[in-house]
Amino acid sequence: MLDGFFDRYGALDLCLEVSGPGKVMFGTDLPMGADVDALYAVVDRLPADQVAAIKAGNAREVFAL
Amino acid sequence: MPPVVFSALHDGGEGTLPSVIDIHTHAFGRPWLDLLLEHGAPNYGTKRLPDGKEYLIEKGVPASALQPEAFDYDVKIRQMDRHGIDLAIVSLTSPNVFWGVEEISAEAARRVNDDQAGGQTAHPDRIRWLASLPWEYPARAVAELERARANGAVGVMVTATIGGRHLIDLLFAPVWEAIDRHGLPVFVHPAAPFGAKDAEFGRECILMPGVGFMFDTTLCIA
Repeated sequence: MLDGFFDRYGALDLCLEVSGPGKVMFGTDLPMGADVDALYAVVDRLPADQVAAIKAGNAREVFAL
Repeated sequence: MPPVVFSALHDGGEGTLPSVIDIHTHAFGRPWLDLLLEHGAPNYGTKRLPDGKEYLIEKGVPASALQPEAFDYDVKIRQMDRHGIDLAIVSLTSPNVFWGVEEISAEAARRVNDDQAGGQTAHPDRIRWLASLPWEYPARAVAELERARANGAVGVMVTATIGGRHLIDLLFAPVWEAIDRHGLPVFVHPAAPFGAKDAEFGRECILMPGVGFMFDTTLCIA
Protein backbone atom coordinates (compact mmCIF):
# COMPACT_ATOMS: atom_id res chain seq x y z
CA MET A 1 0.00 0.00 0.00
CA LEU A 2 1.49 3.30 -1.06
CA ASP A 3 0.33 6.84 -0.76
CA GLY A 4 -0.06 8.86 -3.91
CA PHE A 5 -2.15 11.74 -5.05
CA PHE A 6 -4.14 11.78 -8.20
CA ASP A 7 -7.48 12.99 -9.38
CA ARG A 8 -6.72 12.53 -13.05
CA TYR A 9 -7.81 9.58 -15.13
CA GLY A 10 -4.34 8.86 -16.50
CA ALA A 11 -2.75 8.45 -13.09
CA LEU A 12 -5.28 5.87 -11.94
CA ASP A 13 -5.11 4.07 -15.28
CA LEU A 14 -1.34 3.75 -14.92
CA CYS A 15 -1.74 2.51 -11.37
CA LEU A 16 -4.24 -0.13 -12.53
CA GLU A 17 -2.01 -1.17 -15.39
CA VAL A 18 1.01 -1.60 -13.15
CA SER A 19 -0.64 -3.09 -10.06
CA GLY A 20 -4.03 -4.40 -11.11
CA PRO A 21 -7.41 -3.50 -9.58
CA GLY A 22 -6.88 -5.87 -6.69
CA LYS A 23 -4.10 -3.71 -5.28
CA VAL A 24 -5.62 -0.24 -5.47
CA MET A 25 -7.53 1.32 -2.60
CA PHE A 26 -9.52 4.51 -2.23
CA GLY A 27 -8.07 7.34 -0.12
CA THR A 28 -8.83 11.04 0.16
CA ASP A 29 -5.97 12.56 2.19
CA LEU A 30 -8.58 14.50 4.16
CA PRO A 31 -8.37 16.94 5.88
CA MET A 32 -6.04 18.18 3.17
CA GLY A 33 -7.88 19.89 0.37
CA ALA A 34 -9.05 16.83 -1.51
CA ASP A 35 -11.71 17.13 -4.20
CA VAL A 36 -13.55 14.00 -3.16
CA ASP A 37 -16.16 14.27 -5.90
CA ALA A 38 -13.36 14.35 -8.48
CA LEU A 39 -11.83 11.23 -6.92
CA TYR A 40 -15.19 9.45 -7.12
CA ALA A 41 -15.52 10.52 -10.76
CA VAL A 42 -12.13 9.01 -11.57
CA VAL A 43 -13.09 5.69 -9.97
CA ASP A 44 -16.77 5.46 -10.94
CA ARG A 45 -16.08 5.31 -14.69
CA LEU A 46 -14.46 1.88 -14.21
CA PRO A 47 -16.31 -1.47 -14.43
CA ALA A 48 -18.56 -2.10 -11.43
CA ASP A 49 -16.46 -4.91 -10.00
CA GLN A 50 -13.35 -2.71 -10.04
CA VAL A 51 -15.25 0.18 -8.46
CA ALA A 52 -16.42 -2.05 -5.63
CA ALA A 53 -12.93 -3.44 -5.10
CA ILE A 54 -11.19 -0.06 -5.10
CA LYS A 55 -13.77 1.72 -2.95
CA ALA A 56 -14.05 -0.93 -0.27
CA GLY A 57 -13.46 -4.57 -1.19
CA ASN A 58 -9.68 -4.44 -1.29
CA ALA A 59 -9.53 -2.52 1.98
CA ARG A 60 -11.82 -5.03 3.68
CA GLU A 61 -9.41 -7.78 2.65
CA VAL A 62 -6.15 -5.96 3.45
CA PHE A 63 -7.28 -4.72 6.84
CA ALA A 64 -9.36 -7.81 7.67
CA LEU A 65 -12.44 -5.68 8.30
CA MET B 1 -12.21 -8.26 15.93
CA PRO B 2 -15.62 -8.82 14.26
CA PRO B 3 -16.24 -7.50 10.73
CA VAL B 4 -17.31 -3.89 10.45
CA VAL B 5 -21.07 -3.83 9.91
CA PHE B 6 -22.26 -0.46 8.84
CA SER B 7 -25.55 0.91 10.11
CA ALA B 8 -25.97 4.16 8.19
CA LEU B 9 -25.25 3.26 4.62
CA HIS B 10 -25.38 5.61 1.72
CA ASP B 11 -26.33 3.08 -0.90
CA GLY B 12 -27.10 -0.06 1.04
CA GLY B 13 -29.36 -1.24 3.78
CA GLU B 14 -28.95 -1.56 7.50
CA GLY B 15 -26.49 -4.21 8.49
CA THR B 16 -24.57 -4.43 5.22
CA LEU B 17 -20.87 -3.91 4.64
CA PRO B 18 -19.39 -0.43 4.07
CA SER B 19 -19.32 0.52 0.40
CA VAL B 20 -16.72 3.31 0.68
CA ILE B 21 -13.63 2.89 2.85
CA ASP B 22 -11.16 5.78 2.99
CA ILE B 23 -7.74 4.33 3.73
CA HIS B 24 -5.83 7.61 3.56
CA THR B 25 -7.28 10.14 5.95
CA HIS B 26 -5.68 11.83 8.90
CA ALA B 27 -6.41 12.39 12.56
CA PHE B 28 -3.86 14.09 14.79
CA GLY B 29 -5.34 14.74 18.18
CA ARG B 30 -4.47 17.76 20.29
CA PRO B 31 -2.19 15.85 22.71
CA TRP B 32 0.15 14.88 19.84
CA LEU B 33 0.17 18.41 18.42
CA ASP B 34 0.88 19.90 21.85
CA LEU B 35 3.91 17.65 22.21
CA LEU B 36 5.13 18.54 18.71
CA LEU B 37 4.85 22.24 19.43
CA GLU B 38 6.66 21.77 22.72
CA HIS B 39 9.57 19.71 21.37
CA GLY B 40 9.54 20.02 17.57
CA ALA B 41 11.42 23.29 17.02
CA PRO B 42 13.21 24.31 14.89
CA ASN B 43 12.06 21.84 12.22
CA TYR B 44 8.37 21.74 13.11
CA GLY B 45 5.77 24.31 14.06
CA THR B 46 2.52 25.85 12.89
CA LYS B 47 1.67 28.88 10.80
CA ARG B 48 -1.49 30.52 9.47
CA LEU B 49 -1.27 30.94 5.70
CA PRO B 50 -3.04 33.39 3.37
CA ASP B 51 -5.88 30.90 2.77
CA GLY B 52 -6.84 31.48 6.40
CA LYS B 53 -5.99 27.95 7.53
CA GLU B 54 -3.42 27.01 10.13
CA TYR B 55 -0.85 24.55 8.81
CA LEU B 56 1.70 22.22 10.30
CA ILE B 57 5.02 23.50 8.98
CA GLU B 58 7.59 20.81 8.25
CA LYS B 59 11.12 22.05 7.57
CA GLY B 60 9.79 25.34 6.30
CA VAL B 61 7.08 23.85 4.08
CA PRO B 62 3.31 23.63 4.80
CA ALA B 63 2.63 19.93 5.37
CA SER B 64 -0.90 19.49 6.71
CA ALA B 65 -3.84 21.76 7.33
CA LEU B 66 -4.78 21.65 11.00
CA GLN B 67 -8.49 21.43 10.31
CA PRO B 68 -11.04 20.76 13.08
CA GLU B 69 -11.88 17.33 11.67
CA ALA B 70 -8.32 16.20 12.42
CA PHE B 71 -8.93 16.81 16.13
CA ASP B 72 -12.62 16.04 16.63
CA TYR B 73 -14.13 12.73 15.56
CA ASP B 74 -17.68 14.06 15.63
CA VAL B 75 -16.64 16.71 13.10
CA LYS B 76 -14.84 14.06 11.07
CA ILE B 77 -17.93 11.85 10.95
CA ARG B 78 -19.98 14.77 9.63
CA GLN B 79 -17.35 15.38 6.96
CA MET B 80 -17.42 11.69 6.04
CA ASP B 81 -21.20 11.83 5.76
CA ARG B 82 -20.97 14.80 3.41
CA HIS B 83 -18.59 12.87 1.17
CA GLY B 84 -20.35 9.51 1.32
CA ILE B 85 -17.52 7.79 3.19
CA ASP B 86 -18.71 4.90 5.31
CA LEU B 87 -15.52 3.96 7.11
CA ALA B 88 -12.29 5.91 7.67
CA ILE B 89 -9.01 4.21 8.49
CA VAL B 90 -7.27 7.15 10.11
CA SER B 91 -3.55 7.67 10.49
CA LEU B 92 -1.17 10.35 11.68
CA THR B 93 0.82 12.34 9.16
CA SER B 94 4.47 13.36 8.92
CA PRO B 95 6.59 13.96 10.90
CA ASN B 96 4.71 11.22 12.70
CA VAL B 97 6.55 10.58 15.98
CA PHE B 98 10.06 10.96 14.56
CA TRP B 99 11.48 13.85 16.44
CA GLY B 100 12.91 14.40 19.88
CA VAL B 101 14.62 11.91 22.13
CA GLU B 102 13.42 8.39 22.90
CA GLU B 103 10.97 9.40 25.61
CA ILE B 104 9.42 12.07 23.42
CA SER B 105 9.02 9.77 20.43
CA ALA B 106 7.47 7.03 22.55
CA GLU B 107 5.16 9.51 24.27
CA ALA B 108 4.09 10.98 20.93
CA ALA B 109 3.18 7.50 19.69
CA ARG B 110 1.25 6.73 22.84
CA ARG B 111 -0.67 9.99 22.59
CA VAL B 112 -1.74 9.65 18.98
CA ASN B 113 -2.54 5.96 19.26
CA ASP B 114 -4.69 6.58 22.31
CA ASP B 115 -6.47 9.39 20.51
CA GLN B 116 -7.25 7.23 17.50
CA ALA B 117 -8.30 4.27 19.62
CA GLY B 118 -10.67 6.68 21.33
CA GLY B 119 -12.09 7.64 17.95
CA GLN B 120 -12.81 4.01 17.19
CA THR B 121 -14.40 3.47 20.59
CA ALA B 122 -16.66 6.49 20.09
CA HIS B 123 -17.57 5.51 16.50
CA PRO B 124 -17.04 1.76 16.20
CA ASP B 125 -18.82 1.44 12.86
CA ARG B 126 -17.06 4.44 11.25
CA ILE B 127 -13.45 4.63 12.47
CA ARG B 128 -10.46 2.28 12.31
CA TRP B 129 -6.84 3.36 12.72
CA LEU B 130 -3.20 2.70 11.90
CA ALA B 131 -0.64 2.73 14.69
CA SER B 132 2.29 5.13 14.79
CA LEU B 133 5.43 3.67 16.32
CA PRO B 134 8.74 5.08 17.66
CA TRP B 135 10.72 3.10 15.07
CA GLU B 136 14.08 4.62 15.98
CA TYR B 137 13.82 2.86 19.34
CA PRO B 138 12.91 -0.68 18.33
CA ALA B 139 12.17 -2.11 21.76
CA ARG B 140 9.79 0.78 22.47
CA ALA B 141 8.28 0.43 18.99
CA VAL B 142 7.55 -3.27 19.43
CA ALA B 143 6.01 -2.63 22.85
CA GLU B 144 3.84 0.15 21.42
CA LEU B 145 2.79 -2.08 18.54
CA GLU B 146 1.59 -4.72 20.98
CA ARG B 147 -0.30 -2.09 22.97
CA ALA B 148 -1.82 -0.61 19.82
CA ARG B 149 -2.92 -4.01 18.56
CA ALA B 150 -4.62 -4.68 21.87
CA ASN B 151 -6.41 -1.36 21.51
CA GLY B 152 -7.66 -2.08 17.99
CA ALA B 153 -5.06 -0.91 15.44
CA VAL B 154 -5.62 -2.59 12.07
CA GLY B 155 -2.20 -1.72 10.64
CA VAL B 156 0.79 0.58 10.90
CA MET B 157 1.57 3.92 9.33
CA VAL B 158 5.16 4.94 8.66
CA THR B 159 6.86 7.68 6.69
CA ALA B 160 9.03 6.70 3.72
CA THR B 161 12.18 7.52 5.64
CA ILE B 162 12.74 7.86 9.37
CA GLY B 163 15.29 10.28 10.74
CA GLY B 164 17.32 10.10 7.53
CA ARG B 165 17.26 6.30 7.45
CA HIS B 166 15.65 4.15 4.79
CA LEU B 167 13.00 1.70 5.98
CA ILE B 168 15.32 -1.23 5.16
CA ASP B 169 17.88 0.02 7.69
CA LEU B 170 18.83 -2.84 9.99
CA LEU B 171 17.88 -0.73 12.99
CA PHE B 172 14.24 -1.31 12.08
CA ALA B 173 14.45 -5.08 11.58
CA PRO B 174 12.88 -5.95 14.97
CA VAL B 175 9.93 -3.68 14.20
CA TRP B 176 9.33 -5.28 10.81
CA GLU B 177 9.58 -8.72 12.40
CA ALA B 178 6.93 -7.80 14.95
CA ILE B 179 4.67 -6.39 12.24
CA ASP B 180 5.14 -9.55 10.19
CA ARG B 181 4.27 -11.74 13.16
CA HIS B 182 0.90 -10.00 13.32
CA GLY B 183 0.50 -9.97 9.53
CA LEU B 184 -0.35 -6.27 9.60
CA PRO B 185 -0.48 -3.99 6.55
CA VAL B 186 1.81 -0.95 6.55
CA PHE B 187 0.84 2.37 5.02
CA VAL B 188 3.95 4.15 3.68
CA HIS B 189 3.24 7.86 3.77
CA PRO B 190 5.46 10.49 2.15
CA ALA B 191 7.21 13.28 4.00
CA ALA B 192 9.76 15.93 3.14
CA PRO B 193 12.35 13.85 1.26
CA PHE B 194 16.12 13.86 1.38
CA GLY B 195 17.35 17.21 0.09
CA ALA B 196 14.04 18.97 0.70
CA LYS B 197 15.65 22.11 2.05
CA ASP B 198 18.13 22.32 -0.82
CA ALA B 199 15.35 21.79 -3.34
CA GLU B 200 13.36 24.67 -1.83
CA PHE B 201 10.02 22.93 -2.25
CA GLY B 202 8.47 25.76 -0.27
CA ARG B 203 8.74 28.06 -3.30
CA GLU B 204 5.53 26.59 -4.71
CA CYS B 205 3.02 24.60 -2.66
CA ILE B 206 2.56 22.01 -5.42
CA LEU B 207 6.25 21.11 -5.45
CA MET B 208 6.22 19.11 -2.25
CA PRO B 209 3.26 16.81 -3.05
CA GLY B 210 3.87 16.79 -6.79
CA VAL B 211 7.62 16.21 -6.76
CA GLY B 212 8.92 15.75 -3.23
CA PHE B 213 6.34 13.21 -2.07
CA MET B 214 6.55 11.19 -5.27
CA PHE B 215 10.33 11.08 -5.00
CA ASP B 216 10.12 10.09 -1.36
CA THR B 217 7.83 7.08 -1.78
CA THR B 218 9.39 6.04 -5.09
CA LEU B 219 12.85 5.94 -3.53
CA CYS B 220 11.47 4.05 -0.56
CA ILE B 221 10.02 1.25 -2.65
CA ALA B 222 12.92 1.20 -5.12
